[in-house]
Amino acid sequence: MIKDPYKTLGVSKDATDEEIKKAYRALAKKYHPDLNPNKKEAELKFKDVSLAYKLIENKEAREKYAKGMYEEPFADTTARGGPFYSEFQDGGGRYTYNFEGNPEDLFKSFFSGFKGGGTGGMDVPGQDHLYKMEIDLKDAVTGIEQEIVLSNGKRLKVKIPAGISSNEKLRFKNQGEPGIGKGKTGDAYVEILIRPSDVFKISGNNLEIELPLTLDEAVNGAKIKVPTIEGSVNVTIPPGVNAGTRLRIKGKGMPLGKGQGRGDQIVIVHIVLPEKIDNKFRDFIKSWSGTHSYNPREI
Amino acid sequence: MLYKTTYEITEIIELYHVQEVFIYDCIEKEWVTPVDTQKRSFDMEDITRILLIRDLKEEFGVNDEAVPIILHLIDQLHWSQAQIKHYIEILEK
Repeated sequence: MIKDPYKTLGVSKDATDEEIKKAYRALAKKYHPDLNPNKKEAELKFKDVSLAYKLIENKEAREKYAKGMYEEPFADTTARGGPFYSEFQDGGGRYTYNFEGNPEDLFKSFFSGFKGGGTGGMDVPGQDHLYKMEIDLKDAVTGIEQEIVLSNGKRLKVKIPAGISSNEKLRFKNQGEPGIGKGKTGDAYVEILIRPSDVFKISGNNLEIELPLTLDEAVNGAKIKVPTIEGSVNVTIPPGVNAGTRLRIKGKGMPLGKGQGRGDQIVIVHIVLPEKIDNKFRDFIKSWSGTHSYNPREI
Repeated sequence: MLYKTTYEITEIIELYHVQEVFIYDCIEKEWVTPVDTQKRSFDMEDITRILLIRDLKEEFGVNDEAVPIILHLIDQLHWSQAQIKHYIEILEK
């Protein structure tokens, strides 16, 4: 149920476009979630206010509203809902890491009454910083070195080891926020995120790939070029291979770590019928099935 | 809601109805620095910052001179909150 936009904005029904806009701007400034971080009530009020403005912002909109000519859920498509900047600032973000504030000054401002000086003799470690880095699956398998720019402008070489898992964090000591007093500098953590591959799926230490085959290839066998993370290899498809069969290419999976080699690549067979099935094929299958019945649904 | 780690400019234009020229203007004025400057891809922090700047300019009538000042104040607020949260966690240990 949409609230009365005139009441929401605090304007009369004969208010002009200018008056409505002025009322909206005043309320939007007051309740914008980024100017009121962590206040759910402000976010809800902001949504009401921006929706109300959309409903009566000009003469045409007011006429439509008066005639009830708007469709639910009007609110969901029109009000300035999220996302908001403050949602991504919990614990600090890149732009706040860049902010050149002095943690010691902030700390002192809260603890200035302590004996022993501004920090009360307290040694507080600096905040850790978290960065995120996206890499391709290939780079996760083979390892790669990339550079990131820290919040202090320093360039950091990030050596990503072969076989890294998604969401794994690499730690760089003393690259975070300075500490207070004798507190040590925080660390920088780089969280590695592996972009999903269109072709390969990670399954434990193995990589999986789906391989479509023709009827002829499945029945009579074939030599097929199959992609691996480092390039294609020839794979022998044995005759009579069934759908769902899992063939194994040894040593083409994820690294096992500590020089223990690699997992395997699993090739999962699909059998694909021709796009167009003619009557000849249809009749042959019917005839052949008549003397070679089998039921794949029987366990 | 689940978000991707990074987005291209074309995706931002489609998802959030932001004009391309506006995005490039924010980059040129150094109000926004894409998380990947080489590939020109943006994370959600960049995108929401762009949306905030749009709100400031188009909804609140803030001029270009005032935008970086307001962003600076907002970043200072978040920085202070993050530091205080960190100190409270340390002191509670």
